[in-house]
Amino acid sequence: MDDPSLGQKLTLDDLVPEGGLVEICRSFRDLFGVEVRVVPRGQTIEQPRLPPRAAYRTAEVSYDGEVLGTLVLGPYMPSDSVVSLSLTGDAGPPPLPRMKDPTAERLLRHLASVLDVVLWSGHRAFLASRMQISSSQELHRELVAKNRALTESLERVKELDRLKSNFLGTVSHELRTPLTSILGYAEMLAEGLAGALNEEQIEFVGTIREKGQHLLSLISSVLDLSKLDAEAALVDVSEVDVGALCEGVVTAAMAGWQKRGLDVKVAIGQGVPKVRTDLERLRKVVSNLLDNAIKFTPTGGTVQVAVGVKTPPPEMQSPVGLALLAPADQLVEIAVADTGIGIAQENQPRVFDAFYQVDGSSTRQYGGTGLGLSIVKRLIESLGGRVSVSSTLGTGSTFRVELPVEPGSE
Amino acid sequence: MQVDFAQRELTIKLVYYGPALSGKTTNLQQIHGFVSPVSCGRLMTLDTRDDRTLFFDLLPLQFRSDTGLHLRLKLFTVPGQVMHTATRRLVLSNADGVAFIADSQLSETRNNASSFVDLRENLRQNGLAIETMPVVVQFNKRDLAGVRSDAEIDDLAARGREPVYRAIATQGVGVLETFLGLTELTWTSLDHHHDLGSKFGISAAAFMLSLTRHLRVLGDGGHR
Repeated sequence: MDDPSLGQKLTLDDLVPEGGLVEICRSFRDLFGVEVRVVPRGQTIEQPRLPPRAAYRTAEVSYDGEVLGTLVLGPYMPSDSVVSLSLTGDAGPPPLPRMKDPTAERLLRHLASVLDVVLWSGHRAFLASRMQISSSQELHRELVAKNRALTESLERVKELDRLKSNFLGTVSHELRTPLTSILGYAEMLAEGLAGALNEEQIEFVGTIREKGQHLLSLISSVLDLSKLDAEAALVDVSEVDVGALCEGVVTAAMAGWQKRGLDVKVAIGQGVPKVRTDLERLRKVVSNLLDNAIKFTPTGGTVQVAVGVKTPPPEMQSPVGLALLAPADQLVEIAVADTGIGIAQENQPRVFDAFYQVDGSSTRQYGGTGLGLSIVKRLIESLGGRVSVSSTLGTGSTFRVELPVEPGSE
Repeated sequence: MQVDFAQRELTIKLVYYGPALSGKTTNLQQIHGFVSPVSCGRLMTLDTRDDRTLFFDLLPLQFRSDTGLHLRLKLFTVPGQVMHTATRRLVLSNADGVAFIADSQLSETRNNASSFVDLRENLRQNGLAIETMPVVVQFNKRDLAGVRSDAEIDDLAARGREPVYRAIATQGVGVLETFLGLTELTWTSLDHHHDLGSKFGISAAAFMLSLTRHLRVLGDGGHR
C-alpha cells in the first residue's frame, strides 16, 4: 500500500505551489529593494558580472532536516565600500542597493524564517491532499470489493431461497398431505364414523394415530433442519434480554411440565448484559433444551434454567491485546440442569449428532426424533455460540449454552 | 523504517492508535512540550473545525546520538472515528511500533476492544502481524470517575503481553513513560531483526540514554 506520509524525500515543488516562491521573492524585493532568489537543490545559478566588492548572502533552505535549496540575497553593495562613478556618460547597469552587512544578514534570517512557515504550511497542505487522494482511492477500492461481495451474497441467498422454497414445498406436499389423510382417516375410524370398532381394532387404530403423529413431528424437525441450513446467512440480530426470554419459554411450557409433575425454576444471575443476537433462534434453543430436560426427567424431578455472565478461561484468551479485549470478551451462559436419567460418559460426545438417540432400540422408553439437540447445536453455532453437556448417569444432565454478548468481536 | 547508511540516518515511524477521543493527539501535544525545541519539529494537525482529528497528527522528532547516528522519529496519530478506517490503514502502513491509547472509563471498554480489533485487522491488511509488532498500551484519563481500577489494570497487564501504562495525558502524567517504553520496545525489535546496534555502533541502553537527554523534562511516573 502507498504510504503518503513517510515514503519519499520532499522537494521544494512538493511544498510550495508553482510560482509561489517567485512571488514571495518579488514582494520581498519590492519591500526591501534588494534581489532575493531561492535556488532548488541541485540547480546552479549563473554568476553575473558584478562591480568589485559587490556581495551576496546565502542560507540553506531546509525542512525537517533536509536541505531543499539555497536562499540567495543580493547582489548588494556593502555600505562602507566606495562606489566608482562612470565618467564616460555610459548609463551602464543600474546601481546596486547599498546596505550594511549586518542588515543584509538580518534580512536573510527574516526571509528564512518566513520561508520556514511557508514550507511547513505547504507540507501540511501536501500531506492533506495526498492523504485525501489516498483515502478516496482506498475507500473506492473498499466499496468496489464490498459491492462485489454483496452482489455475490445476494445471488447466493436468492439461489438458496429458491432451492429452499422448492424443497420445502415438495416435502410439505409429498409427505405431509398423505400423512394428514392417514391421520384424518384413523381419527374417523377411531370415532366410529365408519361403524363401530371392536377393542382390538380401536387399539390398532390408536397405534396408527400415535405413530402417524410421531412421523409428522419427525418431518417437522427435518424441515426445521433444512430451513436452518437454507437460512444460515439470515440472522436477525437485536438486543435480547436472555433472562426474560428464559422465563417466557418456561412459562409457555408450563402445561407440559406441570402435567409431568416436575418443578421447573429459572435463576437469573447479577449483571447479565443484554445480548445482540437472533431472538427467535435463541428462543428455539432454550425451548428445545427445556423440552429435552422435561422429557428425560421422571415425575417429581426438578429442572433449573440458570442465566449468568462469565469470561472465557485464561487458557482460551490470547495474550495479544488481552488488557483491552478481555474486559469486553464476556459470554452469557444459559445452563439447563435436570435430575433426569443422565447420559453415560461415552455417549455424551454424540448427543448433538442428527438422529442420534442414546437408546436406539426399537423398544425405547423415550420418544422423539433425535433431532432436537442437533438443531440446538446448529442454531447456537449460527449465533457464534457453543453448547456443551455434562452429565452423570442416573443423576442428571446439564446443558450449557455460551453466547458472546457482542457478535463478531473476534 | 527507513535507513540511509551513507548518511548514518534512521527514520522510525511510531503510530498512536485508539478509539475516538481517547487522547492520542493530547499525547503528542504533551510530547511536543517535553522535547527540546532543537529536536522537535512543529506538531502538525490535520483536523476539522469540530476539533476531532480528520486525517492524522504528525510530530517529527530528530536528534543525533554520541556515535553520530541521526535518528528521526515520526509520531503519528490516527483518526479514531470508525468511519475513517481507510485513513487509519494508510497511516499504519510501514509503522514500526504502535502505542494503543485506551480510555480508562468502564463505559468505553467495548470501544477500546473494537478499536484494538480494528488495529489488528488494519495491520493484517498492511501485511503486518500484531504478534510481531511492538505494541504498548496506555490506559488514559485516570483522573475521571467511573474508570477501571488500578488493581484490575495491574491484573490485566500481568496476564497480557504488552507493557501497560497509566496516564492522565491532559496533565502530562504517564505520557513520556509510554513514549519511551514504545521507543525502547521498537528499537529492540528493529535491532533484533536488522542488527541496528552493530551497524550503527549503538547499544539499546546508549540509544535510550541519548533519547532521554533530548527530553527537556521527565514526566511523573505512570508505569504499571
